[in-house]
Amino acid sequence: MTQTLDDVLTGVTIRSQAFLDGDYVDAASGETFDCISPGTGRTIAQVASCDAEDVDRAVAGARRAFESGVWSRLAPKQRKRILQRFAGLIEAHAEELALLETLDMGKPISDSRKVDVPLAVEAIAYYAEAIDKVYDEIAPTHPSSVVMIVREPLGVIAAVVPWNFPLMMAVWKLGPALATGNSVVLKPAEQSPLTALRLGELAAEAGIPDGVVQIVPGLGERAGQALGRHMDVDMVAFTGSTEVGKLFLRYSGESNMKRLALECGGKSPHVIFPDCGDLDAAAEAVAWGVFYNQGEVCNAGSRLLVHADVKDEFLERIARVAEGIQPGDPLDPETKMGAIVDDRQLERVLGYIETGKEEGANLLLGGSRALAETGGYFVEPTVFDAVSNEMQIAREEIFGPVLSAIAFTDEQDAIRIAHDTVYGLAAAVWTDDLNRAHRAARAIRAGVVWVNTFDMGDISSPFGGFKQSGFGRDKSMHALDKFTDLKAIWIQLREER
Amino acid sequence: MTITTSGLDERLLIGGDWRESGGGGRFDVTNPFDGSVVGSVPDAGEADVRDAIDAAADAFDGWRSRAAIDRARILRRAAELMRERKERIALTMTLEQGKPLAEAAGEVEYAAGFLEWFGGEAERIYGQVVPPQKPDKRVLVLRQPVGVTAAITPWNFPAAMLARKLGPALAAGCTSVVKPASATPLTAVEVCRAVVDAGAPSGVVNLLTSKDARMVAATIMGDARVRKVSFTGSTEVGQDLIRASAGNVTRLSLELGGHAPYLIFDDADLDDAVERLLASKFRNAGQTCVCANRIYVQRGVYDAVLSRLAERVAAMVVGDGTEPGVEIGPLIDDRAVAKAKEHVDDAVSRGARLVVGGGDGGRGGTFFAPTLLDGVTPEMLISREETFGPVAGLTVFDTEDEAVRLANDGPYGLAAYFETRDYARLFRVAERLQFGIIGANDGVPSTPNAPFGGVKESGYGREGGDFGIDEYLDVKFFSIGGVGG
Repeated sequence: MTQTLDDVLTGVTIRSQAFLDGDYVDAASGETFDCISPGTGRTIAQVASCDAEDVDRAVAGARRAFESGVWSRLAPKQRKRILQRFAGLIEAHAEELALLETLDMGKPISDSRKVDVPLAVEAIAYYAEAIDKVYDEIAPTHPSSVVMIVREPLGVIAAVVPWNFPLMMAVWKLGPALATGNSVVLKPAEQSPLTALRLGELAAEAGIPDGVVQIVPGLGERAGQALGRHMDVDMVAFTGSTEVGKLFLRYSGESNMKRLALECGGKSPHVIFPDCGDLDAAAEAVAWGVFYNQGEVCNAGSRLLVHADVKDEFLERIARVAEGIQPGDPLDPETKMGAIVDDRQLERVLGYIETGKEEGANLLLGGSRALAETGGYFVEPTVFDAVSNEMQIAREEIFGPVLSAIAFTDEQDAIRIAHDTVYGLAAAVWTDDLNRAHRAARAIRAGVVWVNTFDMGDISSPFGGFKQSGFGRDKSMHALDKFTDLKAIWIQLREER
Repeated sequence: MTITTSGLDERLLIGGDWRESGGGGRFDVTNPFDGSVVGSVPDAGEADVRDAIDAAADAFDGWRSRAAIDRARILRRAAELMRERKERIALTMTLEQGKPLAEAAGEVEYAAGFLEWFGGEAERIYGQVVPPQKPDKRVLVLRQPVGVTAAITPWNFPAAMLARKLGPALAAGCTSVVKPASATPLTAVEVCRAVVDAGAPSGVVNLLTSKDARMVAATIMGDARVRKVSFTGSTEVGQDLIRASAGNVTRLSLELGGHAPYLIFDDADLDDAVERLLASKFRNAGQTCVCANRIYVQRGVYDAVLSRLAERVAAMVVGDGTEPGVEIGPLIDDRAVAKAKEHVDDAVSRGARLVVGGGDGGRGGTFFAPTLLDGVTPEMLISREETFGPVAGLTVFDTEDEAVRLANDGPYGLAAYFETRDYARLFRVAERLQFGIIGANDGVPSTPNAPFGGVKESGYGREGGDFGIDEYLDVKFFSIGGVGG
């Protein structure tokens, strides 16, 4: 049964203040911003709009907690238990968090329930388990010395996360950063702060000491920039656009040379070779690869590279799959595609669709706003044929349900087009030829290459990009590395007397 | 080419001295091609074995205390020396072992690769710092050389099998007592000489040649100072060593029998598959522990594979390994010939068809012609035992599941091969095969930086790669208390 927005609002706890040193507090300026539900366009909360002053307070508290050792010097076993409890509490509040997520950013409730929340629980539990499984080293130096190589937490981490997977992106940073003993200042996107804010009290309830997790909702150019320029933040772990990723690089250079991990944009190629043995499965994967989460996915397979011999037939199959992925009420459990996150993003997506038409691409499917009468921001699943890789719709990240189909003639041509992008986040190839699968997988410069599937992931497998998709990896044991640095402890031994 | 078959008269190496055995006895080394005498070596007795262990034990403290980079330099220099001396070592090998000169030269290169790779590994023996469960403790893990080790090596790869053991042992800081097969001691002398000439201190490597392998093994296993024995050879001898190891709880690495299956699926690239199968099957005249010994071909391509193989096997050049172009040399001895013959006769008597070869090809001596059998079935001897000779028998199968079951059916688990172009099958089959080494579209998978070794009755322990050096290291858990402030 579908709940209405009002049903939902009476059943969930909405936290709209910043979470600092264990308490929910207003922004120092008293300012707020509107939190709008994209399925209806209605304002559902006024959220504290943090600025440099609040960020200062958050960082100072995080630093105090770090230096005191209440978390950073806790025995690994204790940190592990607390993070396990944290995972357990997220799971216990799964339904509430799923509703908040859907309400706040417009994704289908069935996705929030089946994907976002369970994966968030899994991520925290994984890093909890990892805490006492990471071993440091002893270097093979001359026997007259013992050199210990140990990992040290960096200190205060700013986690700046996007609105497309608000909860999941937050925990991908929180899990490994907390596991390694850091304090974290989390800044959720202004479009979707509600699940992150709710995490604050769950973290406290789990036993994470005050100040170790600070949450500062706010606008990117204010709160985000203040974190990026802060002289006492040791690292920014950011997921978001390449444009903002570059701003953080600049902020770092202009402040304290803080280190960065950037997981930025993509224009991922989805390559269909003519020897693909299951075109139905491929069409299913291509459609979901760009329409899932309304296309608001950094690794969306937004460029379809398909061999000229099978292109027309393949696009027909995609159109048939797309019929079943029409936009609908995000709170309806049957809905497969929800609302675009806000009016600005809606305008941006529709603008790109106009550009595609003007550039001479052939609009094969969709192309319009849908369900405008609801007040929500919906777009039809859209497919362009006859796209050339030089067109703007093939070069820029749209972050909406828009697929650009580009024909190729042979393997080299396909690889060349796949490479012809500033991004390198993800790619997929479909082929039954073992040699080609291995060749193409190694040839394509991307952080993940799928073979005969798309968008598969596991917490044990790293995620992140090459080129202007950024650097550093989320997920897997490798994610722990970026929140620590190495210290060599050199012990010289005296000769026996 | 004029080949001198005299002058290869060598000595034992004990504590840095090249010397005769205490008893003064010697034995001849012969060329399997014509039975002529190639050279001779001392016949070490029990007292010599004890002397060698004494020397290795005395040298241990000095060697383990050297900086890793010194040990690395010596091993890398030994590899260079082997390469500089490649022609001479290869010729010695061919003369005493019979394999074609080109294969012998390839083996010298491969053996040098182990010394070189493990030289680098000496500098990568990292310990660990363990996250403590109590804040006032610090927990360290040290990896230290086990002590005196022994290497007992076979005749089929006289240089490579020794380098595979000496490389990691010396890199780890262990000293070693080496006992090569009595048929091929001269190549082992060359490997040890390279290590000594590269600067290994006295007693770090000690070489024993002897006709009495049983006595040497018993003396080594009976000495509590020997902490590790690495053996490559038959499963029967491996089992004896396991029993003997109980006495002093001596660590073992055992690389034993193989009897490898080679599966060719309908979707394989047949041209490539046949070439790779030939390389796996006929290298060293079929006398390798990873040689394909059971060949299973899917029904749809069976006839095509059979006819291609028949053509290629019939054209193989047999002869004296020192002659250019020869692909198949003599087998090591008469017993090896008798076993190949027994496997062929048994197969034919049970209904297999002899397609090519089957006898000595008119050459006599220890030659056995490259042989191809059609219609081999699982109850035939060749399907159940390692042939260790140039005999290829083909068995047909219908389904993937059947092929995997046939391949896994038996006590051995060293290497298995298969040919397919289907990437899903590639992973499926590789994961289901119960073997330590899998060659998928690869007939010759060995390399110094990957772990070589078997499961089931093919032994335990690994040679090569970072696993290879673990075999020569003890782990020491080192807990420090009272650190809390």
